[in-house]
Amino acid sequence: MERKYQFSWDLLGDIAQGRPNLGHNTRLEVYRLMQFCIRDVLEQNLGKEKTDNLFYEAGYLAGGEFYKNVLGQQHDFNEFVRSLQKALKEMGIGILRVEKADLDAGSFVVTVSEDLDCSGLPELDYEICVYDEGFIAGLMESFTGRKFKVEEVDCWCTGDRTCRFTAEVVG
Amino acid sequence: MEKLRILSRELESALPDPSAEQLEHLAYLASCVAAEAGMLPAAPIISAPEGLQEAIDLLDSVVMANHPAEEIPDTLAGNQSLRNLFTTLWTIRIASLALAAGDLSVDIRAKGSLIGALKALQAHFKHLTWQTQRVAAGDFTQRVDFMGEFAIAFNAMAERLASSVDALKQKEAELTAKNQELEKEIQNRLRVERALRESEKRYREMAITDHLTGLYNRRHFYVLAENELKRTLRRGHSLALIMLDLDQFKKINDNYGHDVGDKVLMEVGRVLVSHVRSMDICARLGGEEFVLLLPETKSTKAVDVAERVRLALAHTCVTNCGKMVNFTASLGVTCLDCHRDQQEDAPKALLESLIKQADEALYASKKAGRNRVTAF
Repeated sequence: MERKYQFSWDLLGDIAQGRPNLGHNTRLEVYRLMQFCIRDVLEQNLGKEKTDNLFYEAGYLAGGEFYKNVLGQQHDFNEFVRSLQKALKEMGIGILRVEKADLDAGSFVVTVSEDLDCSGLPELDYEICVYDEGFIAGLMESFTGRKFKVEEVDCWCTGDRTCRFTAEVVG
Repeated sequence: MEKLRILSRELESALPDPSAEQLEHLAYLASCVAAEAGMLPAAPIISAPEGLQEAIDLLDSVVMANHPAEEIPDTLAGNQSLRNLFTTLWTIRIASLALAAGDLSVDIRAKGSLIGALKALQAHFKHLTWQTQRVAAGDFTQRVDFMGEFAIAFNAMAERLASSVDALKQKEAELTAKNQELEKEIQNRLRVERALRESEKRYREMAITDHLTGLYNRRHFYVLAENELKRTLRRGHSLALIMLDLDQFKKINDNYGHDVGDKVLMEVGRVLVSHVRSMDICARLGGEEFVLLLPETKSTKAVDVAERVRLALAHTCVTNCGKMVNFTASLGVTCLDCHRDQQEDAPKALLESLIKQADEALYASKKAGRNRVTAF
């Protein structure tokens, strides 16, 4: 398949040069406007399940690229967590904390507060951070070299104050 | 007045097209206002719907009682909303009690704002547990940025631990460095001590041996010989003494030089050592004169030894500029057994006597033509 939109970190551009006055920041509503509109249109065209799968895959791709281009190769889990927490906080993505980490068993529970995607949204009957699930899976796979399945078990949208994710090694 | 203000606001929102329900409510408010103004008797109190009090009591027990009802009574079970609220309150109760007891394992599955707050609290405790475990594992960079004053205390503790550990590491490094210095100093001292011991041993050996032949010197021979003599007398055993003198040694020195003379002396030393036992005492008394003290040895055996030594020397030679230089020795033998009458003398005198006797025998060998053994 001939590709037009194959991702490259370079596509994020030289923001300092391109936005000398506005810089890196934009209003969160704009990000959410784009995401929820894309989600809406995708669902209308492809259905709910396919849309969720696409968001998971996009998050997975983003997680891997984020690890490679922002965090760099990490060797120690504590250092990895620390670097990730710092980057996510500084970039306004969310506040990551670890609830459980069993490296040998490949089993983790993390929470993300003030999440970019969902914090402050109205209450819904379902978890919404499927992009985040993929993002965390991409990060964990990049760090450990093992395949992960990430699932959001608590979400702001379902009335929780923080989003909780389980990450388990698969295969 | 309050009722009048409410009536006025409700009227405003309902107009111009009030519903039947709004009209009924407005009428109730108007009657209240009239009653307040003394124009009408007070409005009747509306009685609670049937079962409301029972439902309130049920929910109240879940919130307040130590042993609340665990099931909804059949009379209320038909109300789905009540069932949901009852279940939610029970979930909140279980989660709250578990958190109060420090149990973080409860799986809080319900949703909603209050439940969410409990989940957040549970998450905070879990984060703290994980971070504390990291600190316990030696990661003192852990910091808490939630839970208010507790976070301040935790961070202060982690910082204190970090600085204490840094200080300990610093002290450990200093102690290790000092330890290494001490170790180095000890090694130096041990080296010096070893060198001193070796030097002392060398000097001691030099003091008791003849530097040319490696045999004992005259002075040490007398010390050893006296001791051996005392032991022999104490035990009543036999002892022999052999004196040896190289024949015409002066000629060797004169003809071939002192280097060759020294070689001859060294060969004599080697031959003597190779013909005696480890218990025998072998010494160079001076010049070309040697002595052998043989404990536990009778006269005939001593003569055999002397004869073997003589023969060995007669068949030994040293080389000088490619030429062989032969030499011989004369020997005199005496024995303590032969002179029991002298055993009452002091060991020193007895030794002198023995040496004198052996010397006389040696002289007899010389006189008889050299290269022979004579027994006293």
